[in-house]
Amino acid sequence: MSAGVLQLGEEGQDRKVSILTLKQEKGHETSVVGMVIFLGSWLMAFLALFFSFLMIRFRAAEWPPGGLDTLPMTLPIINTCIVLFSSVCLRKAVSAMRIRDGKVFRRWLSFALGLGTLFLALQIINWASLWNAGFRVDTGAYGSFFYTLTVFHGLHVLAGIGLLLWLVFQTRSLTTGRYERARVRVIELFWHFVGVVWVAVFGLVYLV
Amino acid sequence: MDLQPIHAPPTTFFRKYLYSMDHKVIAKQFLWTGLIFLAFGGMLAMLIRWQLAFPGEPVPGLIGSALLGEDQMIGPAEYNSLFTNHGLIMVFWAITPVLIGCFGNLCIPLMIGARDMAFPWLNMLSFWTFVLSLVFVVMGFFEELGAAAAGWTTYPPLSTQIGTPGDGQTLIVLGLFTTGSATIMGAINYITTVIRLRAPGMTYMKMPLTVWGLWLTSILNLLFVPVLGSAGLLLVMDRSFGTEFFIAGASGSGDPILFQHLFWIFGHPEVYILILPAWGIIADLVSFFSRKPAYFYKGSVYSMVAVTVLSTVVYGHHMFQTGMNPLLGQGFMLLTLIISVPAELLFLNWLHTLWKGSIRLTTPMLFALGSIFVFGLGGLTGIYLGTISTDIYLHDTYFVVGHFHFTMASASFLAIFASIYFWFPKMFGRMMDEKLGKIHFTGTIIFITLLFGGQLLIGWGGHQRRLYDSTQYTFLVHLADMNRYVSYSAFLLGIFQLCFVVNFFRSMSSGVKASDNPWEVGTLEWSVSSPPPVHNFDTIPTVYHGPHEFANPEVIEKLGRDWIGQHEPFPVPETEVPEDAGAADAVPTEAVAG
Repeated sequence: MSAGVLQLGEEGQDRKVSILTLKQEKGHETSVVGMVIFLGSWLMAFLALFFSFLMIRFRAAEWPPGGLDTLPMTLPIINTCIVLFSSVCLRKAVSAMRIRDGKVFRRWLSFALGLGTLFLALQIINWASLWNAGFRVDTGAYGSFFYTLTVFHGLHVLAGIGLLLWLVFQTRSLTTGRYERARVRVIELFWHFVGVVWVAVFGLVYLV
Repeated sequence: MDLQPIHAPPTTFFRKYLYSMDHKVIAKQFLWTGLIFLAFGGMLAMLIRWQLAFPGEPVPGLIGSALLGEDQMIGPAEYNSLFTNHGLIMVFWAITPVLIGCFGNLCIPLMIGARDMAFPWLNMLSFWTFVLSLVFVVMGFFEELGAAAAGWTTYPPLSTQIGTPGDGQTLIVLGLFTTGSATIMGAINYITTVIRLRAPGMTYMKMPLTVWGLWLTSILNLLFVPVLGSAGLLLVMDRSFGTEFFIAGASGSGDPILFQHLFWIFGHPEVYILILPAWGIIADLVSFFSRKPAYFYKGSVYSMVAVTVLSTVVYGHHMFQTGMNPLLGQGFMLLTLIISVPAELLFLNWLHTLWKGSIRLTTPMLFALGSIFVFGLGGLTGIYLGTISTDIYLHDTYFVVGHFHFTMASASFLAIFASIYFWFPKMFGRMMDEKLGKIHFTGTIIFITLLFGGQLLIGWGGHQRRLYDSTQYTFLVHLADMNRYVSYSAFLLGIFQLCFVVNFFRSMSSGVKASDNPWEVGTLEWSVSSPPPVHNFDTIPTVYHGPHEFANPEVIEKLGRDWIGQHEPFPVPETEVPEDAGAADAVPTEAVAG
């Protein structure tokens, strides 16, 4: 910070001035604040989709509409477990980063990344089998919502996988400066967010 | 890592003007694009008014032959395109970029004492995403089946492939989606900047009201533009990928009303998104040019916060006619009417600030007063529309058109003009011409009132909105003269805007050089040179006073002027105890932990 500010803090003229100076010196947190704000925005985008689904769902006379069978649940249940484990792995990685254990950090990070990729692969298998069985985007509102929600979420998983991959390559030498730590935390937040959204999507599409 | 480093000023043309990350340059980029599209949207409005005044007659002159082809006629389909694009362009590509894009970028860092936005790169990305959305809008006009024509609300089934085939409608929805992304990026930046980068001593309750308005607007933008994004996504899916979200009946199990919900969950906060920055700017300008502290500053802040919160739960009043549960309708009516209480408080604060002030009737002040006047008219007519019993009769008439043009159009635009006249010296280093500015104001306020006041009367007379040719209906024939007079007001309003155009360009090249602080006010942006250096502040200032520190007798005695800068320590010990405890008190523990 600038000299003038520090002088004022030393003189102790105004307690609030020095507090704000301290607050600003934690500049590495700005990106985390920005990410939380961004996720608030994205949450609203998903909530709007969920609202749409619930409105159509509870106004329909029968569900699934048009005498459709309920969708097979095995793969989605496995996927939900994968998502939860993946979040736990990333959490472990961040804990390892806190105690500056680079080896453990990269191991857990790779686990999280692998599980994310597995999730997406199973999703693709799931979409392909349903599509071939005749359940498509134009199979009434249920088909429309199923593919829109899951594919929209899948794109976020893809983005998350990209970010984790980038992290793996970026942190070859783990320098736990404030800036790097903030970067890992930002990506961690996004990954947890995508996981939570999947649980909501699963609950809506399969259970409601 | 230093939070706010001083970067070397860019040297190449490319870095300096095109891919600039400087918030002041991005502000100017938004200003230019916004003003160009303001002119374009205004021209579309003139064509609409021509058709309403002289139904079926060819548009004369160059405008007619250039825009409408050989016969110079506005056909029914073209008319639908005109009002659709007029509405969308004005809301998303004229008011939003100028009021929020330009003045948000310019004012927030300068007024809170920051060197730039929190994420300069994201800021640049926001502008260029916005430009991409403009490409979609312009492309729409060159489509074979014409530009979008489903009204600015793009309700299905009108906006599905059945109502509006052709890519024009798809393109404008994509444009909305893209410009929405740009808005969200801007909002993330503005909110984070205000939270993280306030100068030492700049507590929340010492921020200028302009910053408060822009900040609250950004919060609404952040939370509700994504809802429009989702609605647009579903609509594009319906149009292009065969889904059935909004298609009901034999061909689908969706529901067109769903879109109205999504649209207005976004749409009602949107009207406050457009007016909150205007309120903040008006509140500041009224105080600056009355040479008095803003009356009940905290009340104004809390009113704006209350309006922000309430604006999210009133959207149902746009849908009284959709067959919603009467109980729900009454709830929405009650909440809608409650919103006028904080708005009223804000209004009274402005009047109290004016009361016994040493009023300086400069051009920015005149525009701010004009904005208060038209907002008053618009707000009062809103009561009729928020009440179910009157709304049933007034729904979808020109009364609605007049009402929202007074509030979100006129009030916002007059505040935009006030801001341009006020911050022009800070942006371009020169003053705008006061005489031309006053002529511009006089013409604008007279004809804007006649124009939208006339629309209120026509609407009261039963004239529906979006009618191509009202003379076809016998019960509207007697309104034809009235329609013509409204159109003449519109044309004169358009002509008076030429004063602004001339003033803007002439002042930029040959206006009087501006001093650092031509208006003699104390907010931080006036403590640096005009225009400010790339890094804004050589030393991040320390803030001691509120933004409206006027007419302090002690300051007048010691310094010989009636204002004091927010950053100027006043030698006499402060009698005023800073009262903002909530924001700062939570910090110490957090600071120790970090």
